[in-house]
Amino acid sequence: MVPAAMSQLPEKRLGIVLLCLVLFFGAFLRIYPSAGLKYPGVDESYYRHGVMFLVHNGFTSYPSLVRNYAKVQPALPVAIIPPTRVTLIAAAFLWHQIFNTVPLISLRAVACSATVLTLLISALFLYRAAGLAAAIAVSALLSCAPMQIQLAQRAYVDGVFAFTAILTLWLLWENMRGPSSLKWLVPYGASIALMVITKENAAFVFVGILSILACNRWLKIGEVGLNLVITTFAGALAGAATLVIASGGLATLIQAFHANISKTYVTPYVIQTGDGPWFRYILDLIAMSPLVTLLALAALGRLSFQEAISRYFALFLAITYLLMSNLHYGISLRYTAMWDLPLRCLAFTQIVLMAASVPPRYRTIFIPVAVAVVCAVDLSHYSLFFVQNGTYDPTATEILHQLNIVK
Amino acid sequence: MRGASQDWNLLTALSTVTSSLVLADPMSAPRLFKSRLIILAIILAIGVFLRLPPELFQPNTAPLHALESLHPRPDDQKGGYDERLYEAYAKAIGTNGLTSYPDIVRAYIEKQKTLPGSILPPLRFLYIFLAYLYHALFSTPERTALHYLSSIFSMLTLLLSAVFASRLGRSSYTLGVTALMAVAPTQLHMSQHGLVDGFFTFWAMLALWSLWENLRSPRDWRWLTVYVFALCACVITKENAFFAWVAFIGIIAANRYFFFGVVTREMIIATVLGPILGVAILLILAGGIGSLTETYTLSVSKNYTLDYAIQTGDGPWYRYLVDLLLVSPVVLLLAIGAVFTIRREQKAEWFFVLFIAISYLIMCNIKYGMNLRYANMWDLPLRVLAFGQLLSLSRLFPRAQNWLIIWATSILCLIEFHQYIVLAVHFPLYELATQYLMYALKILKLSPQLHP
Repeated sequence: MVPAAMSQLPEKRLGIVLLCLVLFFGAFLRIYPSAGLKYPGVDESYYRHGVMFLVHNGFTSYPSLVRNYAKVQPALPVAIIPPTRVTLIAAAFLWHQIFNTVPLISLRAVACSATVLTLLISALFLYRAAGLAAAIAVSALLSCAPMQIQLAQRAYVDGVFAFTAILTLWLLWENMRGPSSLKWLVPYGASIALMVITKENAAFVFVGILSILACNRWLKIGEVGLNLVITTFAGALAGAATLVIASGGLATLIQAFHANISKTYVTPYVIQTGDGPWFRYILDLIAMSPLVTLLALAALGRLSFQEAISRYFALFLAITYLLMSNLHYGISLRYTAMWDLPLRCLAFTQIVLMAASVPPRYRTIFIPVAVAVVCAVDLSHYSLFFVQNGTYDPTATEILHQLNIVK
Repeated sequence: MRGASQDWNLLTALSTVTSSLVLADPMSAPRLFKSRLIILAIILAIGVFLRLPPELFQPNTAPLHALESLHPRPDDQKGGYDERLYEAYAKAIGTNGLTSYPDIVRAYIEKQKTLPGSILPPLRFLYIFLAYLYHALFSTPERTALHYLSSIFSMLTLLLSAVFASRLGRSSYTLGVTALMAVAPTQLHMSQHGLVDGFFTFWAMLALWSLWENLRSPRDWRWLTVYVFALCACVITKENAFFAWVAFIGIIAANRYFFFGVVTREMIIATVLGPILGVAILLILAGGIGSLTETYTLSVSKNYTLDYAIQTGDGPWYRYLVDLLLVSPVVLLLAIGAVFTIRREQKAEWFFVLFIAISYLIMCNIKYGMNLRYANMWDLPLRVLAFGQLLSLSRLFPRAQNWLIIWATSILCLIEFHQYIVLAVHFPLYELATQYLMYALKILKLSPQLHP
């Protein structure tokens, strides 16, 4: 993945220090409250309501929360956030219990922690899959990813979901690359379960995982054993069982999902912001992170990947994109937070490929400079969208307006 | 120009989609060649039909009314402000004669001074004059003449694309690139409206092609003449000639590194002479250097205060990428892929990449001056790159390469045509501003002030 100049970083220790600095910088960007908009958004209000309900009635009252939702949602004209997103609400409740912070702060703290963890596990993932140099570069790119920083600043579930999705992807990778071992299988199953109880979008990731398992024969990513397949389904079932328990029964859970989905299609905000053609996500991603997206598209366009990790990410992106771009009124840039790592990894691959055509004496400096430029562009976009304009939900309308493309 | 062997090369370049089949069975070569010519003729016929002006299909009176259901009629039938101005200028020539052109320019200056925003200047002479000529020859109303002119020149651009692609010396490019150009949404759109940009694209592409030929066949006076003529025509068609010209200069300068061909002194002189001739014609038409300078100064300065330009022509450096993605998503994605994978020896691809890159660099830095119409001249270069990328990708599957490229090109053409239908037939699209494209694609539904 990295040329000799990069892979032969003279001292591993120096590299690790550099990686730690990058991660520290990324964590700082996530923790420092830079977002322009401070008041709670619509989604945040619903999550806060969920946490407050648990604070008042105790954690065991979770089924009542879901039952109430299942009862109220059909009567409402629009879809509201379902309490089946257990991870965020439960973790925020726990945070409140430990640190005695108000529900909204607890929710934001959980979201922020999740995005910091995303950065950490991404670095670890890349370090194990592609080496230290790639880990440093991709971590730098991810540190400055506008959506990741934004999701750390608000009580959104998407940052938490991105964490669970990337954790699952990493653990799947480890299980495929190494011999079958409980050391990796159990965390993998648990991460799938965690993903399922975090957000409904787990279905897309799950299909992506199944596609990776199915296509491994041709893509030659690693080994797919029966244990891995069983764990994949067992994890998903465990997640579903947890949801059933949290809802107080299968019927309530189905009722809650059914009410949510049916109302989504009549919610004006969703109709107005979640529509568009199949390339809507590409448009949104170009507007948000132009260089990363262009580089990743260039890497994807080759259809020929030397490294297994690139094939792995490319297939995951392709399958999940296919599903997510065909969701009627269901397109939102927030859902793409789980693509931030794959996109940046592919973008870095492209930078490395481009470095090969640079005269040898400039090659060593080319990659860090290119990564720094991409990071700077991403940070400037974060500043524009979320600091200066205080965007809450980065819809296409909103971000193109802020770019002065649409006035 | 070139000898018989070169002509044969051209013909073979026109033909080879399934080159492996030709090698497998030499006896079938003439038959395959013939069938490919037929396919090319069909592609051109479809492209020409789609470009026919909607007036020809109107009920009762129009000659092609019987085919109305087959022709994708654009939803916008009102036209725009620009069309009315071109019409007014063409009428002014008819009323006062061509010798009165300096008066038209002076009248424009006087009017422009009083207006808060910019209106298009009469120095887009060639389009206006040819519309007048068409009107004079066929007694067609000026507005209709403008439409017919746009339509004819869009067809000519298609033919030029076919010839240019065949001259690149790559098998299968002629059919592939021509097919993609035949259904290019922005090309079709320009053919249906009285806008100068499609007309300008023809001259810019003619200049680009003749530049390529001059590089490949140095000191051929016939190519030099075409080159000078095309450059001159660009200058007297639209101010955007400057962007194309700078791109040509850039290509000539880059020839040292890319070795497209031979840069001769004659070619450099021609590169300067063409625009000088154009400027000289404009000087005569404007009635002096003072009027010419004042016209352009007013036009440019007033553009910065034109509300419409401020509303629709702003954005970051990648605004054109956004617009191109909205109109031709797959072509753009393939072209982006091609840009990053070109090898040094792929001279034709570098030639087109440089043309786009240099003109892009200037065009994306014009404040309040970004519009997808101006990117019309990139349609052919983008499609050459996109088709090249399709070919590269098809090589990953050597067994099915020929069929894959045929299917992929066909599907790409369908996607492109579908985009045109969505944008211009199901939606009253006139101006190619981002917000209108987004409305047509249902991405934008409310005002930008929308909050959840």
